[in-house]
Amino acid sequence: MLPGVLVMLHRIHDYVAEGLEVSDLTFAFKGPWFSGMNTLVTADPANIHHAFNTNFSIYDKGPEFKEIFDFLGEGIFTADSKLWEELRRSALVFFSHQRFQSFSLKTIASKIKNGLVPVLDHFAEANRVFDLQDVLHRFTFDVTLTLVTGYDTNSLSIEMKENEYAKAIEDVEEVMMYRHVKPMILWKLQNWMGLGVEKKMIKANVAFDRLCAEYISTKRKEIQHSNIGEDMLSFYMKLDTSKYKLMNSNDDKFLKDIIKSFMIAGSDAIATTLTWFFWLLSNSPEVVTKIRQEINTNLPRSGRSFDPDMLNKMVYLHGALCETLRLYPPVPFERKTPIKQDVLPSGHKVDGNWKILFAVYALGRMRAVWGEDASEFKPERWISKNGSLKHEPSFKFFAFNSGPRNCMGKNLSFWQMKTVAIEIIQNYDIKTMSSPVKRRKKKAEKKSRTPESTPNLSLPDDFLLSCFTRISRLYYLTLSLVSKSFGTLLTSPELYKIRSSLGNTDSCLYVCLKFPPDPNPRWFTLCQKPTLPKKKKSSGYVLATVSIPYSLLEHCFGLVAVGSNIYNIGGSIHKAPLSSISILDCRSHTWCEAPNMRVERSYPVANVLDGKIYVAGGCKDGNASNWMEVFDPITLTWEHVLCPFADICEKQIGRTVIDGNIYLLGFNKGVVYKPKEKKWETIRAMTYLDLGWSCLSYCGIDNVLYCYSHLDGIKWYKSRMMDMFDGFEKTA
Amino acid sequence: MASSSTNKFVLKSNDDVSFEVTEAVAREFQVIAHIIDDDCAKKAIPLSNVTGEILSKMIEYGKKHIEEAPVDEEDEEGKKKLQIWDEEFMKQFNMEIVFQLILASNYLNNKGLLDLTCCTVADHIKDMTPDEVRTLFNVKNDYTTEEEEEIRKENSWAFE
Repeated sequence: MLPGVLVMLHRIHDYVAEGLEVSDLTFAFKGPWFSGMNTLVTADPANIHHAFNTNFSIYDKGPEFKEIFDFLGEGIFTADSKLWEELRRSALVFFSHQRFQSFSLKTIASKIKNGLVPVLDHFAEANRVFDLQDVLHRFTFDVTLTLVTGYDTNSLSIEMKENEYAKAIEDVEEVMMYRHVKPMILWKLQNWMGLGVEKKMIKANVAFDRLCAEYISTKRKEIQHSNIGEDMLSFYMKLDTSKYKLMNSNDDKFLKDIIKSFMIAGSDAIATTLTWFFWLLSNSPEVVTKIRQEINTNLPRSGRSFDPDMLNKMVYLHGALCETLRLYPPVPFERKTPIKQDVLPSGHKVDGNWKILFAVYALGRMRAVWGEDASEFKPERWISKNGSLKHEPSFKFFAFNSGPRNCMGKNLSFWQMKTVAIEIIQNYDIKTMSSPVKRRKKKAEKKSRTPESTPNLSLPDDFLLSCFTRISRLYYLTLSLVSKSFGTLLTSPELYKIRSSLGNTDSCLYVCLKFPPDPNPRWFTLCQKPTLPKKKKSSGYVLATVSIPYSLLEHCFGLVAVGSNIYNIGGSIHKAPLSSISILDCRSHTWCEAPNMRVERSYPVANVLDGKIYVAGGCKDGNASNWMEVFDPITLTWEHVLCPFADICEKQIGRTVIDGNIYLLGFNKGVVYKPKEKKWETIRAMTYLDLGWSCLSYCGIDNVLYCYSHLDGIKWYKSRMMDMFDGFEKTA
Repeated sequence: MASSSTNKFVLKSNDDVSFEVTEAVAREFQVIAHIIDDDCAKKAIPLSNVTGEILSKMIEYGKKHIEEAPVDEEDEEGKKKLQIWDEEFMKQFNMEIVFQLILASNYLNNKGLLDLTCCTVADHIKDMTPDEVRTLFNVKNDYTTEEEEEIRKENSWAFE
């Protein structure tokens, strides 16, 4: 698998997306033996939710992660556990501080005025082609450096001089990307010998270390003489170490790691996103028009400093930026390694030897996740019916990570991206290739503001899901008739995963029926009857169709349910008996395979007892050792059960479980197996039943035996039956 | 350092209503607990996403759950009593308030109240007709006539 990956590297993200689309959102591959790369690549939102939220503590970034990102030292991205908690807690305090928020808005506005506008005007007047990505990269580098350290190298200027520090950050990102796909031994060797892209890394590290050292020592002197600055470095230097025991603000290396981490987080991601944003806009003039309309309606005509409220009103722009982040996430992969063995919601078993790559880029393009138009740039996707922003759960829209590690600078980055976007869209036309920038004539007329519409009563999808998980599945048919989005939510795999993680499970009756001549069976579940008038509560239940593809069942003899799975055991194809087992996951309504039985069985009888599946009969040449076997769904293993009465048993067709024992009932004789004692006994038919155990379908509920035959309909035998069995056992 | 249990904090809603609460009640809301831990709670704590009306209800809930907290895991009677109170507490609200409580308890991160409010919505809508649900959630029926016909055909016996 690996050589293929290296060759495809220039378009690795599309390659992964294609692979995931056909392999049901997750695939695994084992790397060459020396590389230590057992890798699972997934774009399944349920897996993301599992590893980043519900089971966050089991999934670590892993030691290899730290090595790949060695540039970052012990910064917030690479640190695990206790140190990470402290870093996270302190950074949250800093980010949510009013003072820092106004400092960042001020910094952004001033960089636009003194950096971006002069540069763009310069290019526009000369009508020159220029590298927008470079401009944006320098812009965000300057802004972030100011926010993090309080100093500015002014990399963005008309001269566009080479700035070794901005370049260093860019190089580091590139090298880290390569390290993800190269075996560790190879890139370490290259780094040690100073070869290939690793050479850039060494250079970048030296340059940036020098800058950090200079800033840290200057800042230390400044702090002695004046009040605390508004930037992050000052904050960490003045940190109250009594509250944060693991962090040492006197340690220059610690401060350096902090600076680097936040530089990587802040500058490159935003610049990349903005570049893709303008690239997407250049192909979507109608989106540009709509953003301009939104600007004209919501923002004052003068001034470049906006407060967060104004920026929050730019819903359509927000949608367009989210679309960009969905299609071109700045961090295309996230990785984790479980600290112990675990099973992902997709069914994949992983342990400490696996690294799991969460394919963020692919996730944004999965039709299964975003619908048929997943590859299109549609800001409207993000706007709800009442015009407000539509919330997508973070495990689906993963650009800002999910769970306890979610991005702390999310608001800040949106403010920065919006402010830049507004400035450029309002005043310039960006064109790709020829004649790139023209100064746009500002429109003179003022548009009247539309009155704000009153907020409607509505809940974001996250909370709808949360409510649905607390309703019995009986009501889902009615709810899915409400609207398409309700229908989609109610059939989404996330819903069932949340239900099981909350323990909100309920039993649901599944019915599988065949309608000859159609060879494919159809599946139904029991539902509350819709369209009932609310007042008249009736016990109206109906069977609603569930669409379950690929149900190739010859007959339904071997169907049993354990937990949320229905097992289809054995059967035959063209009269050839099968030993295969398929499992229907009732949460996702998909089939998967389980290990084969030891024996092929065309008409097996199956019973569930204590979570294990006992399968008997239906095999050729049944004898004591092969007639019955038992399956443990947890260990996924089969074991034989020795049966001394195999010859009698051969003729048994009815079966049921009563009181912890398995009854196999035939035309005039039956046998009972007591698993606890591992004992077999024979029983005779009850004399007053003329036909003996003639029915095909038996079912024991609360010690009452029910049976069905097409001749007699449903019959049941009450408690006396147990006495009878007891009596007969004695005579057996 | 905020340590004593008699410490008081002031929570301020987005429409400038202030509530003084004990530290224990304030800590019922994870987000506020973090703010206290980080020692940023010297003055009033502004809660920009919650109105005074909603905040007062949330504080009432928080107080009750502090005062009447079950003694331990085994205290079935205490749990039952609190559960009955929860049910009564939710009965006073219309759905609009319940929706706002969901959003606010998510924002302030109180898992108990989020659970309770979601359960209330769940109970409320389960016996509704699709039309009633549409009105409540303000959603349009976006199935085309053909699509609706298709669903009805698939489940024909459900609609008789």
